[in-house]
Amino acid sequence: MTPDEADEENSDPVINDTEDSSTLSEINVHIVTEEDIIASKYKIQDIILPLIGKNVMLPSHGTGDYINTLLHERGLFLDTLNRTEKGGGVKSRIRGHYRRVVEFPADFSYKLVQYSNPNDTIQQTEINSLNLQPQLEGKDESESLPSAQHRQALVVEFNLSPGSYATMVLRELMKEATDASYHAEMTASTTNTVRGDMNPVELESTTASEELPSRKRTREENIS
Amino acid sequence: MLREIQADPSLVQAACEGLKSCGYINYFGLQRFGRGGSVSGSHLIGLEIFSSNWKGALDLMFKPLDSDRPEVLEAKNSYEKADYVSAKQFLPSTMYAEIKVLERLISDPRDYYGAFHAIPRTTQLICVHAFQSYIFNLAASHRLSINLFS
Repeated sequence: MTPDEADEENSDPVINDTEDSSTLSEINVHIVTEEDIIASKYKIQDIILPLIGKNVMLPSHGTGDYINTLLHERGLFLDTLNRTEKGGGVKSRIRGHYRRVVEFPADFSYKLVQYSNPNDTIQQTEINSLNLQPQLEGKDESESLPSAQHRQALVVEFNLSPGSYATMVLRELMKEATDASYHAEMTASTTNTVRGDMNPVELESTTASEELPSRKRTREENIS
Repeated sequence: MLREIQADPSLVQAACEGLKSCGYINYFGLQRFGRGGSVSGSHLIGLEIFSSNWKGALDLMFKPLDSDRPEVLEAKNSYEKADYVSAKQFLPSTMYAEIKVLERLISDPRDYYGAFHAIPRTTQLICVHAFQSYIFNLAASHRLSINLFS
């Protein structure tokens, strides 16, 4: 988007300070200005959207209208929500806050490995992620499968941002692979396919937290 | 570990590098929305809360699901007939929130507000958060589709 296109009527909320605050309810929300865009002050990962509750700011662009429409369709109005709810009921506890729209997985690494038995746990021979030629290091005598029958698995490791879901990271990965595969087919007539369906059981991961973000970055969300 | 990868390694590498450089949309995962899905998922109960429609919230909690065990279906059936005593008898003890609701309704069948608030607070908030997450997920998709940044 060029500076000409930017105007405050079409602008995102971002976090005003760059401190990595994971509970965003008390942060300073700032609507991006034209000067900000010219100065390239904010990056895509700074953009946030509201979790509906009292006193949230909506983007001043189309998505703000879209959110209002979603609420109106359901009989909800932000100014009604902003009115103080008396009593100790659940509604008096609804607090609006904000969440980043795009995140990047930290310390992301990956490797392709081979396995032959679908019920095997983990790697037999490893493939260096920079050199993706499969190496078969020596087969069990009892496993004399021809190499065409060896299966590939992808092992990924990354640190998950607080409040983010590992399943959503992997969804993006599979989608990218599907997209990449599609483009490859269009341009180079390859016949590769990617299995886009992900059985959650296969993830073998520690569960991403369902609670509101904790203060610290989670350590080593290892999908092993 | 993602098994049964049938793609060419170069595609896999492209996908991984793409994720590293472009990131992912920070959606809330499906775990956020509970078992009921589009029938009676937590986010729908959350909507009833936002609307202060306490009876609506309770009715969703007791809406029969295909995945319900027979005794749960019996309980929900009794609820529908406003036979809260029988409903409570049918419910397994694991369904703690529902049991608290029924206890309140047994003592005052029209106190829907009180019955909803008999649910443990953390469970109440799960429904609120589910609705917020639902709206967030839709808004995030919309935001990225309008493509206001380079």
